[in-house]
Amino acid sequence: MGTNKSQISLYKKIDNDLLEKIGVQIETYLRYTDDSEDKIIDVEERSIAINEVDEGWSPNDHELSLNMSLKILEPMRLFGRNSITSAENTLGIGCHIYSKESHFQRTVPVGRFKSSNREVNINFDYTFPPSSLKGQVYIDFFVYLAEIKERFNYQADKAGMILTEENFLELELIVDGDGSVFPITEFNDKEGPLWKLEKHWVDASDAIFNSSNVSLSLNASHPLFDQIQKGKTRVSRAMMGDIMIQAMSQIIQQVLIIENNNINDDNLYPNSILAAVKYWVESFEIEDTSSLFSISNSMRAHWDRRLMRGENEND
Amino acid sequence: MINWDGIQYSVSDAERDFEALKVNTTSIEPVIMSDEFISLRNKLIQSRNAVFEQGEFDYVNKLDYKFDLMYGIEIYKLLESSIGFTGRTASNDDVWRFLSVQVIPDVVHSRWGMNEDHFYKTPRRTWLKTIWWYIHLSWNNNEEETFNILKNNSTDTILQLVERPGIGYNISIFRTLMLKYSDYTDRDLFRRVLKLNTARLLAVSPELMDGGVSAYVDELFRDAQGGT
Repeated sequence: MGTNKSQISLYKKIDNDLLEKIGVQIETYLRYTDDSEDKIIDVEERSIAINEVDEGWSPNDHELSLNMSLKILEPMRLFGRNSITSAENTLGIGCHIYSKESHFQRTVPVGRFKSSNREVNINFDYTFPPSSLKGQVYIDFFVYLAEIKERFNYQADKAGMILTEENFLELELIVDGDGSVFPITEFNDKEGPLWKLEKHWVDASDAIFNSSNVSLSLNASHPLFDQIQKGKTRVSRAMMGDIMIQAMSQIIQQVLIIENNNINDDNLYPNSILAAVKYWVESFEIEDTSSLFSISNSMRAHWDRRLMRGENEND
Repeated sequence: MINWDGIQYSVSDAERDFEALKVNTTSIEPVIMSDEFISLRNKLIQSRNAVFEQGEFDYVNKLDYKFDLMYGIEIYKLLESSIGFTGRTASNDDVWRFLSVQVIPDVVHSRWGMNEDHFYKTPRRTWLKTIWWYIHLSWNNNEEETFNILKNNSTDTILQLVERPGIGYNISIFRTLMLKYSDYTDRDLFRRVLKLNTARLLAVSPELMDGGVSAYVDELFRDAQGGT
């Protein structure tokens, strides 16, 4: 993913074992004010579609505050010649906030701590102003070297260096919708076909998977439109399924075969078209992505198994 | 106030309306709008006229970077929070398509002719969007200073800066970088600096380094020029 900072490292980093040993406890919640009344949104999962939990919050009208309280029970384990950094140095907690759809990223310092026998308590509050967020927003927390006075071998040697192998907390806020929509639009053309697929992206690894960059359009003037839209019968559902399969196959073929993108790229942007392609290749179990036939056959086979066979005869 | 969030204007909508546009010798038709957009259009057109006069654009064969820069500053001043235009609005491609095809198609036409890519078709080439973000990412205190640090650049600078938002623009880095780049005019250097920046952001957080963003940007320029 975009902020995966796990490159081959020449200095010691905090791995999951060490994270467990130092005893990290985290509590987070979201907050906003509506008509001078404080509203709290609990963060129970790493990914939270805000409007599914609280319909009252509007990305346009309300600010959104993230509160995180962090406790580290045994911080001294991070310090010393055999650990992450010298006891003379200061560590910090950093927070990387990024959103391709909101067009921004920034890193903010959360708090600092030194070697101590006592537990560390840090409280962090960050407010996004009204109408600053769009789409999906990612928030990653990590440990970094805040101040360096002494350096031992194999330890980080510059202030700012990231010391956690993986972020110790990653949150995803879904600000618009539920984050899993295939972009479908409608058009009107009495003479036209039932559907069309259009490509507007230039670079699939950079373009967001939304209707501005790729759109499956259904013709609302077509005689079959109502049937496939409502999906009341088995055949109409199968037809809609087939349209989706064809659309996805074409996108996969364009992105992987014609444009030669690589789904195993380390720095795959979340929500990009390439990320969607990767997701389809994995979930439809497409083994050979170099063949047009294999792509569409695998998808149809999977779709049929999953959606058609499992249904009851009800039409 | 304009309800920007309510604008839903798909590529298909834009295509339909774009195809209906008719270019006359002095105007483009139709420009159809609800009342709330008429006053915005008037302001955008006044700005266009002022920029034309100031830049003496009536006498040029083809508009170029100078117009992008001057008009970019004008729309950046107009499309701002007092009319409800926010970061969220500027991140909405529907809004840019709507402004391009419905509100000021004549201005877009004066720069790009009937090139659909720059009106609505290719999100990263939508002209109004690219010049707004170019100014936003380069803004330096005020209009004059922003103009001064950008005046020696070219259309290529806009493309380089705006076209690849990656996981999101780091605004403080870009503003510092554009200020620093005003001391140079080397296009290749600019490209190298941006590439280096993209690569380094995966491993470091400039905001947390000693000396912060400005030390980070200095280092980018130094390393992109081969070190020392």
